[in-house]
Amino acid sequence: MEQHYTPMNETNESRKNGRVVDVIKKGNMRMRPRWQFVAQGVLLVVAAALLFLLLLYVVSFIIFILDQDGAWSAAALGPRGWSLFFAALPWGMFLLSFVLLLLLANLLKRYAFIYHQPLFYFLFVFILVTTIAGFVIAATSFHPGISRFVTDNVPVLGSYYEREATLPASVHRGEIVAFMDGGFVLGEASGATSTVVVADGIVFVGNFYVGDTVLVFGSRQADGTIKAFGIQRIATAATTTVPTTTVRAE
Amino acid sequence: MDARDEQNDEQIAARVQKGDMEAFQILVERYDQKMGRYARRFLFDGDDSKDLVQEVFIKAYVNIRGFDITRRFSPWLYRIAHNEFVNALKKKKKERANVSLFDFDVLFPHIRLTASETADTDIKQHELKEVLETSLGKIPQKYREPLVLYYFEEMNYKEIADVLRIPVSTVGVRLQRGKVMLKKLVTN
Repeated sequence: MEQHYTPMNETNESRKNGRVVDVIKKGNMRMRPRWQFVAQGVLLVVAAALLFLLLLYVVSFIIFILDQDGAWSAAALGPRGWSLFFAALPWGMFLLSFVLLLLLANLLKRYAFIYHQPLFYFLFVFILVTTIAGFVIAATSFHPGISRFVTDNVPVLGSYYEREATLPASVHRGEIVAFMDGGFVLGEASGATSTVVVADGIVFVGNFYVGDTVLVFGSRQADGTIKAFGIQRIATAATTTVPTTTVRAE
Repeated sequence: MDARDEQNDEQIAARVQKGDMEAFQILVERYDQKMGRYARRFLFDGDDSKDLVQEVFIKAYVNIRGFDITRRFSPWLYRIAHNEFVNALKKKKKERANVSLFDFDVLFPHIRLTASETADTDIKQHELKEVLETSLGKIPQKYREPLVLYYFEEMNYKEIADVLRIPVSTVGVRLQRGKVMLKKLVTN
């Protein structure tokens, strides 16, 4: 009967001093067939490809939700914006993408093209490639499409896409309902409206329209008004007619 | 000499892949001493190394159809031996077997060596071999193995990189550090 190879088994004594070939014959050991190595290689490549796709998905998702939260724009608003940016970063997702990257490196480390180069190069190239590809994917309709589907149908993933609830307290999302002197009225998802006044010394140059969906960065005052130090349009009005005003406060 | 013995390792391996079991014995005879020497320098255990070398050959036979005959046989066999010996060290817990993917010198092998590491390590080849023989046990496995493969098994950097699966530049770094350690041992 064919014996499957088991290392260092009880036949050790009989092996000593014998020709290796005789030991192999005596143990009736067989070479593993070539197809097993081919299958192993194919499985490895498939697993690496799946990991890479998952990594791309997670990275593009991070970029997508940062865009949805207006975190990219917040980062351009100076120190106050940076703190908002870091608060909005999905750290769990970052950790997940890093773990996926290490798993990928571990899976591919048997290939000479990976281990011949310093590991740093591999990590750098993969981070660069996935980030660029992530921005490209985030700019397509891929995530909005998934978002529309999973928000109501897939509990866990849906909650990740529903980011309104997780916005930092000083970020407000809503639609411009009307303009007023030095600010505008923001209609929020809950149905409530808030008055947004632009903080002194802050200048926003650009046309905003009634119906634009915007992110307002600023704290809510005791009287309920929001004192904005930054405004970011994330969707234009469905029907853009005449620009109503330029929000400007000097 | 048997005409068959004039074939190179890869040609013989190809014959073994086709089912010529006796051809495998030729490979065993060619590498038996080298493997024994490598094991002793790796493990410092005469009894165990004999068994382990046999295990290496048996594993090589079982897996030989996974060997790519367009590449060199020697690093492939040494890779099997390396894995076997590292596992043996782990079992014994004799010393920490360094096989981590995320070693600093694997991640950033191009980081400059310190001044003491680039100090003159110009020891003559035969002196170095002598020192290696007597002091190997005092050098960590991480540095010992590249030294053994380079000075005793006469492999080049790329072959050592293939055996240890580390960047070629890391081989250089470890060899340099190993030589510095040896020099310190000599001067002390």
